[in-house]
Amino acid sequence: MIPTAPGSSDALDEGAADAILVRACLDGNAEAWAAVMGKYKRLIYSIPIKFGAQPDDAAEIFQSVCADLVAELPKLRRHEALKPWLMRVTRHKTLHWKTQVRRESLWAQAADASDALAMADGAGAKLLEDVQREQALREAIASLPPRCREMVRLLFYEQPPLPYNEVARRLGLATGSIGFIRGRCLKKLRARLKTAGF
Amino acid sequence: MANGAEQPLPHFDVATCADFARDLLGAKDRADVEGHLTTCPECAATARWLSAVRAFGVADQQYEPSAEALEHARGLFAIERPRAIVTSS
Repeated sequence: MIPTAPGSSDALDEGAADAILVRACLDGNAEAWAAVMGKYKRLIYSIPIKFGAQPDDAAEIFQSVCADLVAELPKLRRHEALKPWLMRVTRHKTLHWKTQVRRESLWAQAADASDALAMADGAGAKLLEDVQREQALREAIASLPPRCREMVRLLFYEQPPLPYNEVARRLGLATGSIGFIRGRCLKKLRARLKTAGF
Repeated sequence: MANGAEQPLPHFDVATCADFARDLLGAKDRADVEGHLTTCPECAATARWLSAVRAFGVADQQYEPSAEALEHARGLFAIERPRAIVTSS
């Protein structure tokens, strides 16, 4: 039986370990699949976007990777290998898409091949490093207790930045109490980022 | 200085550094923090990681797949629900 208490380290949310999520998916748990999607949707989608895909093409690659994942999940021998698997398959599909697009354009085929290789080796490697680093940041934030996670998102993701009274309102807190909670949350975030190598 | 030794400047708290990273400080406070960061590696490091989180948070919005793509991906599980491979011993 897999515990699902909200906020616990074993909860089936974005903060859960891959091995727990994969096992629960294989047990037919749709909540675990939603958590896998929540945890990795931006990692998957960011790869084609970084390689120059427009949203429609990126969405197609995203859906294709998800379809492969559902099919391949039972064969994933090491459940903790989920992230490298997703990166490898998404990169492969993205390079395939890029080669196809170039072939269909007016570009010479020889140039296409060299571009694709360059993307696969040089610039591509740097992009994938960025993808890994961004995912580590996402996971550090996702591992925070739910209220801290939400506070970090409200503080740092909103553009333009939200004033504190609005952050407090959205979290259901008194404006006067936000300073203390913010301090604790930032301390926890710093600790997690250090652990993640930042 | 009376004793000839330079007194260390007090550190800015993490909240001020967060406000700096979020670009919420007024011009004078911002200039004060910027000046301090040039001489205080500890506060500079704090401002750097908070600014990195801020830059990441804003940029990460562009990597959100559409609601339709997500709905489709969630629906895949209902249709193609995976099962663990059972191996006989």
